[in-house]
Amino acid sequence: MNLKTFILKRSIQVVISFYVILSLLFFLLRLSPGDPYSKYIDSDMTQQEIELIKKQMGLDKHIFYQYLIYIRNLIKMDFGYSFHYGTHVWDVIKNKILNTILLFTTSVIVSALVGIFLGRIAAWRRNTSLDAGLTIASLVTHTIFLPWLGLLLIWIFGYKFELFPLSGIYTPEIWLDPECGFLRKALDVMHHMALPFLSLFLLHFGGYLLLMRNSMLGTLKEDYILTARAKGLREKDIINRHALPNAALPVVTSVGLSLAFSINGGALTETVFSWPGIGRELVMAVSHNDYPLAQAAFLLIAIVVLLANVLVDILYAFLDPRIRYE
Amino acid sequence: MRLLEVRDLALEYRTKKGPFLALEDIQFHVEKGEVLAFVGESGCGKTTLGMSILRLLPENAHILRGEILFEGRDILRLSQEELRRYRWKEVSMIFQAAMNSLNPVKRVGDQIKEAIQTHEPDISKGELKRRVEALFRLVNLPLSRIGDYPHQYSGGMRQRAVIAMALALRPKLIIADEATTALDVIVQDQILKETKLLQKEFGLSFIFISHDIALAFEVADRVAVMYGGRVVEMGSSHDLEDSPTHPYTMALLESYPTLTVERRRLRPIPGDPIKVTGGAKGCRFFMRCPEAEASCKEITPPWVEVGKGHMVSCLRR
Amino acid sequence: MSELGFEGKGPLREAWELFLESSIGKAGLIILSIFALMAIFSFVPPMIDPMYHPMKGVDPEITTSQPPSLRHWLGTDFMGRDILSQLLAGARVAFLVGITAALMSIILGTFLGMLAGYFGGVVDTLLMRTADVIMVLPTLLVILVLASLFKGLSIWSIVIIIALFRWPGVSRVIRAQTLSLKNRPFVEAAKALGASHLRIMMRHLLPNLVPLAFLYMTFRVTAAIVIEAALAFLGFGDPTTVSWGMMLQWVWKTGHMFKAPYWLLPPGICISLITLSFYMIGRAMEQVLDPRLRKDWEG
Repeated sequence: MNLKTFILKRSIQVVISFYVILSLLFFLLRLSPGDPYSKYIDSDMTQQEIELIKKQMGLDKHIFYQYLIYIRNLIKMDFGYSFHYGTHVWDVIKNKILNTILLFTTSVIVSALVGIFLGRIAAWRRNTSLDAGLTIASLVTHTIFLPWLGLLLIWIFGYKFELFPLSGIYTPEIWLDPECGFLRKALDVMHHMALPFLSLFLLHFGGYLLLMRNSMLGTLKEDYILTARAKGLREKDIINRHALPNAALPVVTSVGLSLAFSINGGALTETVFSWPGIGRELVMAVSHNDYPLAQAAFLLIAIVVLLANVLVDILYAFLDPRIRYE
Repeated sequence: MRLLEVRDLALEYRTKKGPFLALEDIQFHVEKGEVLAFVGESGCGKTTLGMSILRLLPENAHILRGEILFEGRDILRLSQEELRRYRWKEVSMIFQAAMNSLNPVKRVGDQIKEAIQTHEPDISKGELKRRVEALFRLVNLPLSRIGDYPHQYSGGMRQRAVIAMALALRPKLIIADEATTALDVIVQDQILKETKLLQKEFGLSFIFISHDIALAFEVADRVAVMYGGRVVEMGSSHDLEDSPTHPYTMALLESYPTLTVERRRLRPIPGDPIKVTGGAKGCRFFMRCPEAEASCKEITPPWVEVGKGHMVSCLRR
Repeated sequence: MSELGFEGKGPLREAWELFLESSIGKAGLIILSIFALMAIFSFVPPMIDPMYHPMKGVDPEITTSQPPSLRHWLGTDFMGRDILSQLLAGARVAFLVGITAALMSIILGTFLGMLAGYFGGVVDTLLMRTADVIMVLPTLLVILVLASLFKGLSIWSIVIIIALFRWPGVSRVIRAQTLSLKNRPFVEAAKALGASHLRIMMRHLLPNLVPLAFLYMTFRVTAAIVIEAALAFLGFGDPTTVSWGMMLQWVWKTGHMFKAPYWLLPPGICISLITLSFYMIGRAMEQVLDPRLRKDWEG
């Protein structure tokens, strides 16, 4: 199996998975107590508007017809009407996607890289105080309760020392000022992103570090490491050229497997730091009983996770020839 | 000057359950162009012995005394950098489980190139390519497979690649540790024959480590039989095959089927191989020996020469 | 248990001894027993005085959040409720949620994994593809969506939903183990004697799978505790129980996070520490069971 067929196969799997998820959501809505379409209808709506929505969604027709309409609407990116914002759901959400991806990808990638780097050091200096220190630090940061960590960071760095803004993604004065260039704006966003990034980073890097450390220790016992040493390679080269590429593989797998966990953390972080992303939108939609918005946010997150999983798989195949040249 | 000479080597592993004497009183030499085989059950110390010649021992291994002289230089006294330059250039190794001794994420050709480049950093790209191709030809591997990954090779091909790698720097001595055990008999036979030819052609010396005494007789000039971390009998393949003297050698021979002797009964050696903790006196084989006497438990048997260059360490001989 | 690679002694005893060699495991056990004590003592304060009831007990003399005092060792929340009592009650809820959810997901995962491995074919494909889909879903967000569909969730429905979304990891491992078990002589023999599928699974396979399943339980416990705490923190917890997550929500939503560290710190420390202790125990158990992590190279 070459890389192309591999990607094709995974993409088909993503489509099927996504289809299953959105179908489940449709039928769960029908199973939930009360009138199913009440979830799409706000108390402020006029009779006329209600009739329109009912007609649009085919709510007077058979359930399978409704299902087809549901699918068709999703394909058209028509997620319905948000009660809370009073606009189309897509208009609410589309501006939030990039914010989420920005915060999420930077924190996952940076924490994986740092975890791999430090895990390598911990394994290399195993059973020293450095190793013990790194292991304990990772255990603690990896199991810390994320929203609480966020609150602590806001309290200490935002409130006490006033080093970082308490919430949000940008300072309106800077963005409204036509004099401000791109660099200034980018720096402003980074300034806002520092604390949410830090809390997601702290939560994640420890897990990757611990995994990398164990994986490295296992790899160093492999026969090909002995071969490399027998060949007269320098220790540095044995670690970097032979052990590292093998030991990093389980970490890459784990990045994929823990994406769902990371997305949970992402939503919590966005909420605590009022970072305008899809996760926070989902949380707020649920507390406002804004079902169309919640559903759309969830489906969007699901597709992001599924696609990210494919990206991780491709990366894995790229790193491991046993997958690439099957 | 002898190519390799090992004098009075003793080594222990320090484990959680206490020290464990893996090698004791090891004394042997290898001449230029000679094949010496070490034979014994698993755990007898033969792999440890091979590893100590390249100083590839795990951290918990401690050499208690002895010298390992390669062309007169004691390699136990080499600095890290000297050791690095000695490895593979002078002595290379074909490992037990050759299947796993290639890195799965690196191309086979590159792994061989790496061995050359490490020791000849100034080599040109073209020369490097030529050398690797020559090695592939030497071990009968198709040149089209140089860029393949190990998992794309069959077991026999991987074995050949590992041999090519061991030959890459034309070392004076190659240690082959159960090099062909994992292969099926036909491939094993083929590879052994080819290796033997290469050995003759280049005048290489080999240390051949195996549990299979019949195979050892076939490939080696001299054979050393090991038990419990000690060599119990050593001599030419001829002498050992025709007149095995130590009870353990005799037991080993009886436990192996041969094609030449008609249907000899396959007999497992009774008892378990021992693990020695500390410098116990007496013969190591005492517990399992059919000929043991009370004195065997008390006195460490001295070396006796029973024929020219045929040494045995047994009180009853 | 012999499947896990132990010989001699009692396998459980040997595993326990190996476990105690790990300082991480021991530290985890010690922290965990402190929380167990907290859960047990949670019944004491309301008995002393009704004002120490974690939910209903309000100190009549207090109307705002107060710092620690002799009367309230850890201070009070915005309504004058005792923070220490709430903290103790929170330990009880954490254990309840963590252990029941983990137990349920382990049972579910073991059975589904065993079915998939034993029957193979369509059953296997169907179950494992379902597991794949569930595995990529962020559990917390799924529960949020369900909460919006079903209008608020009780602590028990939260527990059940966590279990429903946390079985795939276990079932994969159990399935692999079943595959290796089902061709062993003792299963073949039972088949030849005409034992029913149910009997083979219950009498021959299950006893060999249970120890493995329990290893995975510790990690499920941490997941369940964290999810419940996060839900409560976001305001979707069971309003009739007091959990650490809920305490944090109160600090946050009532704007006390910058002025009442005595209130902000304890619940967060508790959630983090209980997660840490289960996690450490899980890691120590993993080290006991995975020979690759403890293999000593011997010539």
